[in-house]
Amino acid sequence: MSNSGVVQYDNIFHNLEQNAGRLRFTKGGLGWKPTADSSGAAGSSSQTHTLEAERFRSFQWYKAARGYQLRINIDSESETEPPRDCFDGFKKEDYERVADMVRDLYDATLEAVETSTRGWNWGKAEIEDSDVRFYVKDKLAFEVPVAHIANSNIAGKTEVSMEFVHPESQQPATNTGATSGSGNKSGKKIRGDQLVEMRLHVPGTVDKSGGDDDDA
Amino acid sequence: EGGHDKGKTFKKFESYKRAELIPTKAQDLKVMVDVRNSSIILPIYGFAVPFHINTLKNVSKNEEGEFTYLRFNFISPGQIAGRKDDTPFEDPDATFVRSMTFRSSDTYHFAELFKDITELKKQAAKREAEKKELSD
Repeated sequence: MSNSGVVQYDNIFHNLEQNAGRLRFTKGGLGWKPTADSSGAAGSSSQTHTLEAERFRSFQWYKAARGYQLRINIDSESETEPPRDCFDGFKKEDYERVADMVRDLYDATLEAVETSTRGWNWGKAEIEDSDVRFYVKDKLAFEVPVAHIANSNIAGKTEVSMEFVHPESQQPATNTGATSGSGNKSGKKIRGDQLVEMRLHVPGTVDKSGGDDDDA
Repeated sequence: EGGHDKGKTFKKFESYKRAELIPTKAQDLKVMVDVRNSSIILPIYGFAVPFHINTLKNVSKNEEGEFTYLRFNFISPGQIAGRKDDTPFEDPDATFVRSMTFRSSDTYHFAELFKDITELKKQAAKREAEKKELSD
C-alpha cells in the first residue's frame, strides 16, 4: 500500500457520465476529477466530485457494462440524492487492491455481488432502496432508479409500464447542440443508447379463478 | 396438451456462464448482438444485460423526429403466439420483462441492429424447427 495514504485509479467513470477521470481516495473521503477533454466540446458535462468518508456506508463490487463497478452506498441527504456513488471502469484484477484499500482506509469490507447473465426475461421484480431491481434466480440482472421513472402505468390487470426520463434532456447545458447533432460535434464522446420504456408482466393481483382466456 | 412432465417442457438456455464472458464491446453502452452466444445485450443503467434470443418474440423499429426507436418484445404469458414449451410458464409467480424500448440518434446503428436481430431470431427459429423435426 502507498505510504502517502492516497490511493488513485485512472480511467474511472462516475455514475453514468461519459467522461472518464481520476479517482482518489484518502482517509477523509474521495475525489473524482474528469480527464481534461481534448475534443474541446463546450461545457464538459462532468464535474469534479467529492464525498466525505463519514457518509460511506458500505462497499460493493459489481460487473458493469464498463468493466467493474465500485459502488459506495451512502446516506443520502435529500430525497433526490441517489443513495450511492458508483464508479465504473475498474478491471477484474483491481478487486484485491480495492478490497485492501477499503479495509485499510475505512475499516470496511468490499462485498462482491454476483449479477445474472443467464439471459432470461423472467424472475422477480423488487423495489429496494430507490430502485426497481430485477432478479433472475436470486441474482441481480438489472436495476432502474425509481427517480428516473417519469411515468408509470398499470396497463391491464397484469402489466406495468415505466417510462424513463433522461438526465441530459433536463440539463440545458447538454440539451442544446450536444444532444441533437451528436454526429459531427465531437466524435470523441459516444452517447449510449437510451432506455425509454419498459413493460413488465406482473401476475400478483389477479387470481386464476377459471381460465378466462380459453379462446385459443 | 397438458405437459405432464413439467421438468422437461422447459429447456434451459443460458447466455453466459460468467459475467466476464460478456463481450467488452458492451462498454459502449449500446445495444449489441452477440451471434455466437445467441444473445442481445441491452445497456440498462450502467449494466450490460444479456437476453437470450429464445426470450425474444420480435423487434420493431420506428423513427420519430431525430430518434430511431427499437422495441424489443419478449415472450411472456398471455400471448397466443408465445412458444410455450420454451418458457417456464409453470411458475405463476414469475415477473416477465414484456418489452423494452431504446432510442438512438444513430439511424444506421439501429437499422443494422434491427436487421441483425431479426436474422438471428430467424436462424434460431429455424434451428428449433429442425430439432423438433428430428425428434419426432
